[in-house]
Amino acid sequence: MITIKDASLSYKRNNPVIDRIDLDIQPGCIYGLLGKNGEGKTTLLNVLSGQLFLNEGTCHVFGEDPAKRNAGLLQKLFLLPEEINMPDVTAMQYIRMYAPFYPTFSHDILKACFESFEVDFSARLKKMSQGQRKKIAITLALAVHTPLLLMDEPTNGLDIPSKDVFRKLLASFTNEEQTVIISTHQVRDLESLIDAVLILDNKKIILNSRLNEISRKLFFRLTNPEEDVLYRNQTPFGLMGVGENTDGEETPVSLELLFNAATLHPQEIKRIFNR
Amino acid sequence: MNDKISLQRIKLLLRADWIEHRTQVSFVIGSFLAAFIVFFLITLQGDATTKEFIRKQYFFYGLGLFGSFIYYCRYIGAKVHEPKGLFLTLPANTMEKFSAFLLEGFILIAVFHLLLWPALYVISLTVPGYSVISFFDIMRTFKISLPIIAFLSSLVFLSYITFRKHAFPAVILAYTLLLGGTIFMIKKIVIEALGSQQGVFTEMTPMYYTVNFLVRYHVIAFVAATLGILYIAYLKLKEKELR
Repeated sequence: MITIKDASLSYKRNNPVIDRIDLDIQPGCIYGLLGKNGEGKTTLLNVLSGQLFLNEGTCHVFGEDPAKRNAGLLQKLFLLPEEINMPDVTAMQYIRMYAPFYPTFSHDILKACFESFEVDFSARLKKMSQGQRKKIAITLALAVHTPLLLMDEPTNGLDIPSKDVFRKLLASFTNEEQTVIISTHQVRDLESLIDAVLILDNKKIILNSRLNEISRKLFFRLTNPEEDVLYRNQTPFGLMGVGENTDGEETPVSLELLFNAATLHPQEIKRIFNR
Repeated sequence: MNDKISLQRIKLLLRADWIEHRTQVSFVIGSFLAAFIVFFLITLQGDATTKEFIRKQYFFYGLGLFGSFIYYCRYIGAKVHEPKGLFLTLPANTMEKFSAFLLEGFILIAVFHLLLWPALYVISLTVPGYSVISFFDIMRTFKISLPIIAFLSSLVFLSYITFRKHAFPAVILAYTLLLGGTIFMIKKIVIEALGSQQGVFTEMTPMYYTVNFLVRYHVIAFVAATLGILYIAYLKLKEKELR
């Protein structure tokens, strides 16, 4: 569905943000796109949505080059940016501006979002708080119901109850035909939703894997200091560690531990997952 | 895959812009009317001759059209270079978005004229001896320079699509270079070259034929140049990135 080959992009000469990356995204998953600040997560989403062009390599989304920005392709994807400029209209007018562009727009999802987020959709966007505007933006993103949904830090600015609402709405209204890629630092907000992980580190993709494969190949549990692990972290419950799973027992994946292990030992991760 | 031009999508683009900007358009129309009232008051001052009235009308027509055009270009520039909006990913081809821009420009010019003539006629009813210029008077006056105006306007349009900041200074610089270059070419190449051949088969030189061709067919040349500039503006929009 999404294929990126040997892709590089630089904002300044000789300083690539992403450097010769290859990526295959399969349909029907919710991907968590993780990476440190400045590693290229937003850049990657902007490439997939056709807002940035690669300096080298190729990118195909649904078999088309997103850089051409053909209407047919753009109807199949929606990017929710981290921050979005909103016009001085009411929330309902904002939805009405963009909804007709998307043939997959769903009024049922729109209604469910209205009711769940409890925002006054007749209020003007400029008079709303940032969190309320984010809810409107998320409403549009979910309601357009495109086969590919890209979200950049969707939970930033949301209060705790709204994060829960967002999780429930995303879980309820994404189906097997949709692919969602969520770039986030707030892994705990979305841990229960994500079923595949992409990790960007040092301009490369160091991990692209489904959670069930990760839990088969890595363990996440309490360890002792002598145990050979990729990463360990002291918690109130003890020393939590992540390491190569050699005994076949699957444990629930901790995205935080996974991320830290992957960024500290990228070569080891590649070895384990490319075997 | 659905990359043919769709009138329906162009209509949706115009509709979305109308929903977004209708309050602002109301303010612009209010500003037009305020400007007409100021014009009316200025008309009452100074010489009360028909010639003076007509002169002022041409002046304010030009000023109003120029102001409207700059407002339109600033609107286009803000839309194209908006860093955190949805414009680039809006499901419409580049040609559809570009066509919507051009249509909005024509609509703005049409609205300007629809407000102007009734306002001038209202003034003519209240001021004795006031004669309103007609659209055809203006076309006759500007006929020769209309292709040139179109060409210069297209340069402004291109500048606002190309440059995120300082588009207007870029245009002034471009005009200065264009004018300076044209004067230099005329002075150095045409006049000096012709001067040296004065009285000796002047009318049979390639330079003569070139200059003669440009003067006689300047309308076609400027129209072609305008279309060329608009095509470059379309390509700039196609290449627009979020950098």
